[in-house]
Amino acid sequence: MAAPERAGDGVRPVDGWLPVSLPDLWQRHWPGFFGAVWYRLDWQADCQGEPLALSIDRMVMAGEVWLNDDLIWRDESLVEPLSRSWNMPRYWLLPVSAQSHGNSIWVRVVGSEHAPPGLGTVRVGTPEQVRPEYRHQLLLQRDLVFITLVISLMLGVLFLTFWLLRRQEHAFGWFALASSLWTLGLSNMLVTSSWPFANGEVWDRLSQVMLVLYCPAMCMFVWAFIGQRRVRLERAIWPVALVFCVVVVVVPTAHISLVQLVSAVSLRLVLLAISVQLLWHGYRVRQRYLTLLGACMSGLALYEFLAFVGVLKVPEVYVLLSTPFISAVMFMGLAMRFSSSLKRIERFNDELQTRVDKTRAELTETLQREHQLAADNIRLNERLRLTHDLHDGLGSSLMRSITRMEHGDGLKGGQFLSVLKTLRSDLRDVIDGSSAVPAWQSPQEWLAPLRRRFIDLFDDLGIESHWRLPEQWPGTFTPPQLLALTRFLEEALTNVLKHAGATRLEVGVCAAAERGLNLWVRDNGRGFDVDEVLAASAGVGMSSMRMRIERMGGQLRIESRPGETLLTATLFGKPVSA
Amino acid sequence: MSTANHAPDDVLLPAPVLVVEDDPLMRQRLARVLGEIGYADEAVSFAVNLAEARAHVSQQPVAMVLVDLGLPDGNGIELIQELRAQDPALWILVISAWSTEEAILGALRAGATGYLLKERDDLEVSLSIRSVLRGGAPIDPFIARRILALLPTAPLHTPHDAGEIEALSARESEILEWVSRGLSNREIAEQLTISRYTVECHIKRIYRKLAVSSRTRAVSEARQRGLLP
Repeated sequence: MAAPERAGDGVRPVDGWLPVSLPDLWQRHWPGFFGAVWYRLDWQADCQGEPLALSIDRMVMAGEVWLNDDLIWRDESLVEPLSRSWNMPRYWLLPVSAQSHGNSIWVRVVGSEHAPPGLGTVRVGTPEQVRPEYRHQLLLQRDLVFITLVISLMLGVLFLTFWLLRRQEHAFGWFALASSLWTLGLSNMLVTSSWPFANGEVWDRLSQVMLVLYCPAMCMFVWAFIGQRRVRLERAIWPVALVFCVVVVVVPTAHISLVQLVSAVSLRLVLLAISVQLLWHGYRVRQRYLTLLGACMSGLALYEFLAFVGVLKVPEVYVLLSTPFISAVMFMGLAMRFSSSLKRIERFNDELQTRVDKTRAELTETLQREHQLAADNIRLNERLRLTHDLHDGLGSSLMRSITRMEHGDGLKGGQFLSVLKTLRSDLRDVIDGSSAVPAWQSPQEWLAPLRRRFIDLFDDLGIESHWRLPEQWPGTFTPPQLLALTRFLEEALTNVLKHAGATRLEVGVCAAAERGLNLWVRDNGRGFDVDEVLAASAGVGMSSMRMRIERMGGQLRIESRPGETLLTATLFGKPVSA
Repeated sequence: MSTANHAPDDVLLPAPVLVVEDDPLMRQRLARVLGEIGYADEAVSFAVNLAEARAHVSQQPVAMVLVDLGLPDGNGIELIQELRAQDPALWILVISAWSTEEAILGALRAGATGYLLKERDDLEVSLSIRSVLRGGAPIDPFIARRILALLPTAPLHTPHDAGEIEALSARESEILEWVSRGLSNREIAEQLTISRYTVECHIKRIYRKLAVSSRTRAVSEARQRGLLP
């Protein structure tokens, strides 16, 4: 039995009672009435003294429950903002003392305009009968929804984190958005007060907006996931969704439930479409996991759709349950893609390593070859230089000697010896020159070996020797020039040692004009007749020295008289820049 | 030294002399040079290869050995090492033909007392030998430079102890520095206001250090390879 409370004073109405069957939506009986309605349940207690249990699976929106004249439950707020008991099953033990032979349960339900007001199923019986049913109802109406929301929220947060760390993965971002929207959209099933809004209606509109936005977010996710931009569709879907949102916000309170229905149907249709598209894409690109994913999603979406329109006789909550499954499947898809990316990276690393190794080996080989080539080149150049030296030095000396022997009047023993010694010295020059010629820092350093070699010998023979060697070069001189001067000095000193019978010797280097270098040797020996020595070729060594220095563009002056012999060799250096 | 002849200019001549040289002409030349210095013919004996030289040394004592480096049955450096190990006071002169810096340095490190270059005139060779016998130690500027690079220099004013026997003393490296600039032993002596004899002693000690350093290195190397305890 039900009767509207026309007075609105919370007192049980006396008349206007109609028999109704539960669950009941009173708009059928009193359309346009949004006050409070009283329901009355009467029953005869068969065996008194036995405790009885009562369960009500929903009161839309809020209500109070009486057993006979005892109040056993009252929602927190029975005026706007109303408490929301519309999806909250309740269970009470009925105290035995309050029961009499004929009992009545009075339920006062306060409705609101935006949700169809009424009373859900009411059960009275022994606790053994009622409690399991209540538990089952609780599971369907609260726990499963809660689990669903938690899963969605978790996935949303997880992928939001991924996306924040890696913005170019758009699929992650869209998935996070879709999951979050879904969670918010469904949370109105769980809230039991309209807080923080002044009106429970705001909750419903809000959740509806979320669900409307969920739809394009999910589409965007799928498109991003399969890597196909549908620019036109993307451009179309957002305005449609926004228009829908505006409609949801501004629609008159009375039509909210109609909008909810339309929205739910279109949401499921879109989901089904997008799932089929995923399946089709997976099939076309022959990606097994995409196909699998598409199949799962399509199956679930189809199931959800059919369940929702009522073709499959399943409780509404199972419809909801398919969504976290879809989420989980999506999550799997993303995880699979992630792992395959990782595998690709690892494989790429291996390939890279192989390529690096190969390149390094090639490089090493090339470098070795180049090194070998350079070494060969150096050896070849060295050999060429040696050949040059032999040709220019020893070769030309030999040639000159042969010419002299052929065209001169033959050589006497001493001259022959002198020729041979010249050749020996030339050979020594070639040998010295072919070992690395040092760049002498100063004339002192240049003549140090010769000085050291002869000075002790002179000391031993009681010849006083004085060396005047400057610390700076007056110009730049080539190694062959210096070698020629060295040979000249060696020859001159040997002559002094052997023939001069001197007691005093001076050796000096000084600068000459035009960046020239004078090397002079003066002794106080017995002297010799210069012309005779040079002409009679008795001093083959000396005349060959003279020729050699002249070949270098220098000159050798010889002045000799008893008591003083002065030999001066002059060479001209190149400018430093040359 | 069993006997000692006296040369005309009063140089102490260590005898008997062994000349290890495979070239007959060079043998004649050295015999003549040694004769000019004042050696009697019977004080000079010859060996043409390492084997003969070893046999000769094992049979009778020698006071001075002239060793050619390139011998038919091996390198003279081996012989120098053996002789130096047997007799630290032996005079060992290297007679080297067209020799490189490395060959001379190698001979010195093996324990040679000095070196002669075959290519030089007789007069120079004989003067060199005489110089060695008078106590001089022939050393060329390039060799001096190499030794400076080869041996570590002990810090100044550090007392000599046995552990640092391989390091050059400050005075020794100073002398080598002057030698590398071409100064004669007499000039170095004047520079350092010491006697020429002291300079020559220093150079001989440098040679000994060179030989010792190469020997200790050989010993430590042998230890490392497990050839010696």
